[in-house]
Amino acid sequence: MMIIVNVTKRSGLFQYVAVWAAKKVKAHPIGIMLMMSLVTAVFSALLDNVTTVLLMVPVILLITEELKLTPYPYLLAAIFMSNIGGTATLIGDPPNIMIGSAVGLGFNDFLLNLAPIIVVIMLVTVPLMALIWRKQMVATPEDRARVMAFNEREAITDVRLLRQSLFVLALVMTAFILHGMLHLEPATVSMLGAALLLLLDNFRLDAEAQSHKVHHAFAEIEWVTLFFFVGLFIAVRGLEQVGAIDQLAHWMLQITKGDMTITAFTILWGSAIASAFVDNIPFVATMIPLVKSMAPAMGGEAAIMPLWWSLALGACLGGNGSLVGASANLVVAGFAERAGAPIRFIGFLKVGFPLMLLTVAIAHVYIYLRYL
Amino acid sequence: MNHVTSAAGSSMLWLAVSLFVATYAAIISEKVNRAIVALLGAGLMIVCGASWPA
Repeated sequence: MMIIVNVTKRSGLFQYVAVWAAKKVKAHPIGIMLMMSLVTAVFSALLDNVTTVLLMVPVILLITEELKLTPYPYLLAAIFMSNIGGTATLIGDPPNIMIGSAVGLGFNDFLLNLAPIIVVIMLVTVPLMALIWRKQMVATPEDRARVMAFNEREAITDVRLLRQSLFVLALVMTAFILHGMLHLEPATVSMLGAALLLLLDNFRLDAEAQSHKVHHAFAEIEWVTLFFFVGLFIAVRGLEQVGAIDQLAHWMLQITKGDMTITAFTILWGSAIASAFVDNIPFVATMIPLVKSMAPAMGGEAAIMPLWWSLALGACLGGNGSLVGASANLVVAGFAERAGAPIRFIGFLKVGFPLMLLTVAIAHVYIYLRYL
Repeated sequence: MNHVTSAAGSSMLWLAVSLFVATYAAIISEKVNRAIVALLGAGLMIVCGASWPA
């Protein structure tokens, strides 16, 4: 997926969508807040969170500058929505892909179990954000006219690549959704998709141009994150081998008495609070074998599905709890600093932490009603 | 439930747990890039015999 996104990015597709969305709401500041939130959430569900904010933030800064608005509310909305939207799908956030591959859950499992509640959470949080910052979101008709004069088509830098990217993205998404019938792992689908897009993009180019393009596509992969995964999985495997994870699961079962409701809510809130302050990737890497080894005592693998959804929701939504809760948060903070609207740790905490608690509370009700 | 019965196994358990906690603490402190810390922790985990490639 990283390769596909890296290649697609060059076509200007994502900027096109963002500018198009802003114009759809007649460049009204509050409308832009709603649209940017929606677009960020949708991108985040399909791309990883850091890529999403890297694509969205420059467009947000451009539009708010033209409207003479402070970008602060929009940047915070981008952070919140990147974390919330990413929770909805298998490929949206690293914890989901980790849980998915460890437990053998597919694209549809995540879509059917998590996307509905993410829609509800968005319906609550987006209007809430518009309400909080409504006083700062006022623009004159002249400024709005300037944004309306933007031509989204100018964002498209490579029409041929755009067609190819859309074609491959559609194929990959279809294969993800048909995963049950095709019996293909998401990783296999992504790999084939990446190969196909690279093939189309490099077809009939000379060797040197091909080498340059392919080099570029691979160089932009998030190698740091991938090696971080590799290292962590080996370290967690060590804990498993010596029996530490089983020991921990045993203690946890003693505390919760094997009660599904208590266990699910402990995992949900525990992972939300933990993920707000520490990276959710190592946390989830440790939790996966822990939850797995609780399965026999709690009625087998099928019975513990609510625990996996609790873990996914807690770990992903928890990222909104503080500025260091997710790497996308820090990326946006970096942009904000340069744009002269710095996001401070405490300032973020004041909005982010209550908002995170609210979203986890909604998830709590959902898990209770649907699974327990 | 308890996988570790021998004295050697028990010291292995503590070694692995301490290594993991140290790795985790180093990741949180953010003094060194998290990927370096994770690879270092993984390498040490294999060297001391707790983890091995599947």
